[in-house]
Amino acid sequence: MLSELMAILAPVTVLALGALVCLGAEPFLKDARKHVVLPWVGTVFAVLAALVQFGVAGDAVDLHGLYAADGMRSWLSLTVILCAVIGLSGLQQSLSRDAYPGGEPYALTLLAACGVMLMVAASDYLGLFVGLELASISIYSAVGLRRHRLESGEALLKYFVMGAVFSAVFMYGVALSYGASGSTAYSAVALEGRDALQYLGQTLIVVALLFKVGAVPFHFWAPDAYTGAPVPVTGFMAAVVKIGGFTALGAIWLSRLAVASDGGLAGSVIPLGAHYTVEEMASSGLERGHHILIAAAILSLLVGNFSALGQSTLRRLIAFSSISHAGYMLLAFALPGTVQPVAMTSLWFYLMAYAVASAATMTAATALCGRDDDDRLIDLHGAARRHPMLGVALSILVASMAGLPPTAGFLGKYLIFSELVAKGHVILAVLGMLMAVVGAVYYMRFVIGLWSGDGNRVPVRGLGGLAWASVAVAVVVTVALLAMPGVIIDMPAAPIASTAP
Amino acid sequence: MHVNPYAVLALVLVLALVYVGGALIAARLFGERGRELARKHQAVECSSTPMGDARIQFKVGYYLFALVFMVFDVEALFLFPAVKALAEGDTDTGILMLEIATFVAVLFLALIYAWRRKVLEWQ
Repeated sequence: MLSELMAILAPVTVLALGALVCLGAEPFLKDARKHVVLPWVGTVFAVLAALVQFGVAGDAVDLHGLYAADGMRSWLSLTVILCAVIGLSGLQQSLSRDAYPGGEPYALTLLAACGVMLMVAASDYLGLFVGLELASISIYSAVGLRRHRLESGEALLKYFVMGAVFSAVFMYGVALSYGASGSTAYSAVALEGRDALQYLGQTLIVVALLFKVGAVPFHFWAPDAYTGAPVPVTGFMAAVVKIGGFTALGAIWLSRLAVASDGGLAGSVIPLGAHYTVEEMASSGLERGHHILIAAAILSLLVGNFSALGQSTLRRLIAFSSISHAGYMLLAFALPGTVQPVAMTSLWFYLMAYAVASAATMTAATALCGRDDDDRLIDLHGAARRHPMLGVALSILVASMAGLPPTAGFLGKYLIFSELVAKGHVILAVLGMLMAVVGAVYYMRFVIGLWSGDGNRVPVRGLGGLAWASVAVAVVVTVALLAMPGVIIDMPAAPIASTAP
Repeated sequence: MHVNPYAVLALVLVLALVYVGGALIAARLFGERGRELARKHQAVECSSTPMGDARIQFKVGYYLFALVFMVFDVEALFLFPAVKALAEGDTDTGILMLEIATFVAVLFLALIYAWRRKVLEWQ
């Protein structure tokens, strides 16, 4: 019992302790010192949490069916911790430049990371909800940091009100699903004659999670919330909210697949690296979910990519491109036309590659932006020529998001498209590739802008030590994931010995 | 006699509509209408003349105090089950005391934070 508690909650506890230390020390420091000391304190705790995560990674275990730990979950948690460090270092750049009077954002970043780690570990809707709210509430306040800016207040209000509504939608779905199955586990099956209720509840849950990841048609909050947030917060939230939301969606989908393939798995905890073969797809009712998710994927790809083409600020560009990335990731949910094993490995890989690249891109870009994170693309022209190292790092990270080799983003897209072809959805794969070409246009336009022109309009400051270190780690991870994808893709999927009653 | 529980609910709903709707319709039919007086539109203030506007700006400081109050409110609420478990004696006392101490310490941190950020000083 104690070992399961340790394996699942110890890394989160260390990170939460870091947040408490930051919050407790904050009022005792002078304003200028806050931006020097607190990010480092947070980073130390994040590194400790990562070490603990490495130390406890081992057998798949679960805690009363509420939270679980397995190989894939621990990689995803490590990605969250890395994104938290990248976010902390970016915030340090941004806030110290503007002499922000307070150090709470660092604690909020760590708390948000704790919430997302709980979302990753969750294997039950209630456990998921705890993580979801911890992450959401922390990120709402981080979005509205610059209280004197009009667009910041707009972003905060829109994101908060819509987020609260969709949290209610989520809870209503959980209530209906509980009424249908008598359990809040991901892998619960409907009782006799309550399939329709179960379907309704799960649809509401999926809708709420699609809102959180910013998939069309639930994407309206994303451009405004991303634009109002400070630049590093934009990257951080794009990364961790996607990890949390998509891990939950993927885990729920995998649980449905598991139950459909083997009725004996009902109520048990499903490891994320597993694959299942569904013999009778038609009678499983999974195809209805497939249609919803694929429709959202196609819409996200079209709306996200074509809207991003016309954007003139970096944060809005990243907002629409994050909508399009939600589309690529939703393509991984496609069901095969024939009987064959289905796994979500391509989703997990894409998620890690995207999260690291997007968080680090924005942290690196923070150094190039003006006061109050002025990020008009035209002002960034020529910035890379004055800081070549930063330019190279940004180019690699953006190439990863665009899906160009030699980066992890390329392999992520390759895995998703090749899986689609293997599942018999050639048209979807072709659509995805065409959209990736459209995506490459606006990403490359940004990179070419960085390296050309003279635009001396914004005084560029270099990155601080912490930001350099975190961006460098992100670049190394982005390239290393391409070189050694087997660490994640070929993970043995040991079944969890369920301790759930 | 077996009655569907939802039928009772429906009956209550119908009764509620009849009762409230009936009262409104009856008032319209049989009620006596007096002259339009300005006093009729006044706020009811225990039969004394109201002073000023009801819509005043609320001092934001109250909310901060309410938030700090919440810290202790929640603390007291969550200590009850712990005390109950302690009284029944089927939990390890040492571990329970440790859990309570951790919980109180985290909440105490919130108070220190509020104190240092001068939330407790009325401005």
